[in-house]
Amino acid sequence: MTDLELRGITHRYGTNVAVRNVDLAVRSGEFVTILGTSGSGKTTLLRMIGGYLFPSEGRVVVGGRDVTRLPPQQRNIGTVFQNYALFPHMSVFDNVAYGLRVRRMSRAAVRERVGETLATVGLTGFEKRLPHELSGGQQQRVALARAISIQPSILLMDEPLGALDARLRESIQLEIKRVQRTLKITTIYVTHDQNEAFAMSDRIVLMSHGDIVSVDTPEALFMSPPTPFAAEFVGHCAVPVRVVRWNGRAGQVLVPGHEVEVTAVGPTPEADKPCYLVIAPDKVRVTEAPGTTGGVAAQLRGRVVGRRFTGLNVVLTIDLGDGGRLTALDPERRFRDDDVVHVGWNGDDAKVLQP
Amino acid sequence: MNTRRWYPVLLPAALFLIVFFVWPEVQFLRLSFEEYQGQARSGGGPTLRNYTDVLSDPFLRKGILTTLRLSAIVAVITALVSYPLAIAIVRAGPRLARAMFVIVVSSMFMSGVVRALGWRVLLGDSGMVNDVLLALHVVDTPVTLYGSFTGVTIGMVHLLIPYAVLGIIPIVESVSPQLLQASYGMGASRPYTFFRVTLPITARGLIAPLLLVFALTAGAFTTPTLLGGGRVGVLSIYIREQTLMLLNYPRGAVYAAILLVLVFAVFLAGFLASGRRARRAKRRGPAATEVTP
Amino acid sequence: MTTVMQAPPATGDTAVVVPPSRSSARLDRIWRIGFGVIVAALLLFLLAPLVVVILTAFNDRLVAFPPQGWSLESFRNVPGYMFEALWLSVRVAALATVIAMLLAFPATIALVRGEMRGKAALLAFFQSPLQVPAIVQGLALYQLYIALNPWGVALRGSFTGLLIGHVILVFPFILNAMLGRVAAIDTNLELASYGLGAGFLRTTWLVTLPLMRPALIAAGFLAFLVSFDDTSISLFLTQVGGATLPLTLLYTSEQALSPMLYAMSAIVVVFSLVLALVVDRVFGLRTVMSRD
Repeated sequence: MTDLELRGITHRYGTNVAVRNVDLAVRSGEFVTILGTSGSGKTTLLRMIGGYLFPSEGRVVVGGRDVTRLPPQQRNIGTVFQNYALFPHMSVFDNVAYGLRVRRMSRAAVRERVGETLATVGLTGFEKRLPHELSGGQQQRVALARAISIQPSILLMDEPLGALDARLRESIQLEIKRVQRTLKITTIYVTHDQNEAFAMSDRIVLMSHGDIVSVDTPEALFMSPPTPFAAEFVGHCAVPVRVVRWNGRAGQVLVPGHEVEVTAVGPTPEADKPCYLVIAPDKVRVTEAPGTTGGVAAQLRGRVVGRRFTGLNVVLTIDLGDGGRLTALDPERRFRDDDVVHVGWNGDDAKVLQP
Repeated sequence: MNTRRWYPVLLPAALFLIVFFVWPEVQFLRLSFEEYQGQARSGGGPTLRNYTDVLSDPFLRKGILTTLRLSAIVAVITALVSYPLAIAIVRAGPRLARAMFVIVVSSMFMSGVVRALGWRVLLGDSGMVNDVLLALHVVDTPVTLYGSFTGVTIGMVHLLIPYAVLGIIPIVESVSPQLLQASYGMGASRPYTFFRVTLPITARGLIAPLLLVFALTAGAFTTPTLLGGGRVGVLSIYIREQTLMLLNYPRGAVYAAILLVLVFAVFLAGFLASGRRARRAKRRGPAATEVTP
Repeated sequence: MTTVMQAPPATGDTAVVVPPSRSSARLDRIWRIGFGVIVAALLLFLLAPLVVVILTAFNDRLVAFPPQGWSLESFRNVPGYMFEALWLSVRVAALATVIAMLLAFPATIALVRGEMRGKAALLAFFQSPLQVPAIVQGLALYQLYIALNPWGVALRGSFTGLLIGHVILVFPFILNAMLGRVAAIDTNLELASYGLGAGFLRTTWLVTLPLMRPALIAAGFLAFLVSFDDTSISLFLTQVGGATLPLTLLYTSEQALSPMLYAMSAIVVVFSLVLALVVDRVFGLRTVMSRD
């Protein structure tokens, strides 16, 4: 069953269109992440769902009810703000109790619900603290508790982990996911971090310049990004290429600066649009000399211009000349900066995409 | 929130200001164009007579010039002496800074009348200031300070230093200590750093406090009355004299109107100066307005 | 000043960096000492009249500094009307502050958070009393009260009339302090409150108002002082027999100086100092006085 439905949502500030004609349906209990860079319109979209902004066009439907013109206080939607927005003059208890008191719950019921909610986020015993006496992670959990205390129909989270350090971020990701699954609460999560989106979401909505680029599961988005932009966003390389010939689902392309034709797959490219060859870094084979390893021919000559050690792996940036750049993995740590290498890939792994 | 719903929220304050501020201002300006018909009476008009009377008679005109001269001198001196005080407060350690701040501000808390009474004792012919000047052989005979332009100037500077210091502190704070350290680190001396870093960055910021002090001096009443001894006639004293003693309401209104125009011109100048700065900053792009890294 | 530190001469790629000379260290010391002396002299200048007022109060018969003969006589000689004037000043200042706050608070919320046309003009209008000298405002109200008299509105010389003048006097100070504070409040806090189901009034009462508390105290404090110090408006709105304290001191000193006058002044000094110290202790003077 559908919990949230956006129909043709548009938001303009003057002539500037922040969100353009967005349609989206979110199922009950689903965890959907809106992923995009700053300025992509993701926060504007979230604010329109919460009622903090009204769309210029389109409708917001929550649980079958049209709430497009309702102010936030009549929507029963929980929001975790980017900077948490905890009331600094209230204790943890009062922060979490705020929405319940507004709903005129009895004292005893408020105490019980706040206790339960704080237990859910693992903050029992912190009731009397003030927000500034808590660590960043604890503040984040209070904000979550406050948002879910009102048993909202939808939970909105706007870059909730942005202010936390990397290590803490991972454990809180798991924590949020656990709470969300226990409560089966429909969640819309906004982030610019694709790893965060991959780790938590049932589906990812990728946005760029106010448009939805794709709506898909994390696996599908990573395996087959629909556009060069989406490909680069999830960490693939996109090399501009020229199509030599195309035959149905596959064809031959030329990488700039190289004479060798390489095979790629994908729908037939349109003639008037630039083409990009998109490939996942783990599918790129790197060798010293030109040759064939494991049935893959490494024919394109390039130079290592960047080498990044990530702990589990080494990520190489390889310059193919004429603006073509590839990202590849080097798990055996064989290559150094400035090494001359040869790269190749299986034709089925390389896709030609157009923006 | 709906646009129209906000106006009623403004209504109480707006009504109060219109009835007890805007309306009386309009009334008294109208009064300044009425004919004087004997004590406490006026009517007829409109006439420019009251204005031409005041502006053509050197004796009646004097108050305007005295006010301008006093305001200009007080503004310059106050800005000059408040600048080092503000720097000292910003750059000193927390305890010393707090002590200095309390001294500066607590003198602001003292009623202006009380402070003027204090100066009256110090500035008398046999007061402490003259005693010191005589002892140091700076002068041979006591200087007339109480009841003179100089005495009023001293009292006004003292009165307005706290306002100027409060205005200058944020400007000095905008020069980050890192900037100074960078200068020292490159081998520059303190005076060099002051003249090449601190002063150029803050100089423009002194204009606003300077104009504020000018405007406050122009409208001041207590200090010129108490330290002028009836011999330093500024506009506020003329207004009191004409209105409350001579009961020449139209002429009192003329002086008030002149004072109003004067102060308004100063604020306008300040507004234009800050506007030009903002425009220039905009042209240069956002980086130019950012002083702290 | 350019002689103090020349840019190091550039000799190709290897510029020679000249280390700071010893003379520059001496220059620094002279500079710092000179600066310290100037600041100390200025602080002394600021304190001088306050000290003088207090010590002069202990003269027995003459007004002189340093005092000629020590005595507490002057304090006993302070006439009752001085204390009546003090009480009037305190009442007017306190009431004017409270009324101006009640007027300024809704206006502040609307001017900062409201979405309406002509906001800049409205803001300028509400701040405009600050640009009119108090003596002009006093004269204008005086003329208004005279004009209203035949209509049966007797504000001239009344407490209400005086109070109105002081509300106008302190209103822009309070408004400015409140505007600065509300603008500094994170709007997300208010949005969070709406999201949790609270309406506009409840959000203002439970979130905005408590967060404004320090600014309200600062504004109230400043307004009280401005009103308590005023002579310009009160000059026109009171009569010689029933004037506020600063005016009563002014009128009396225009007749003659007496140690009693300084005794009363000393009482005011101590009163203000205690107020300043209490505020400094409780809130920190610096946070209260500096604008956001």
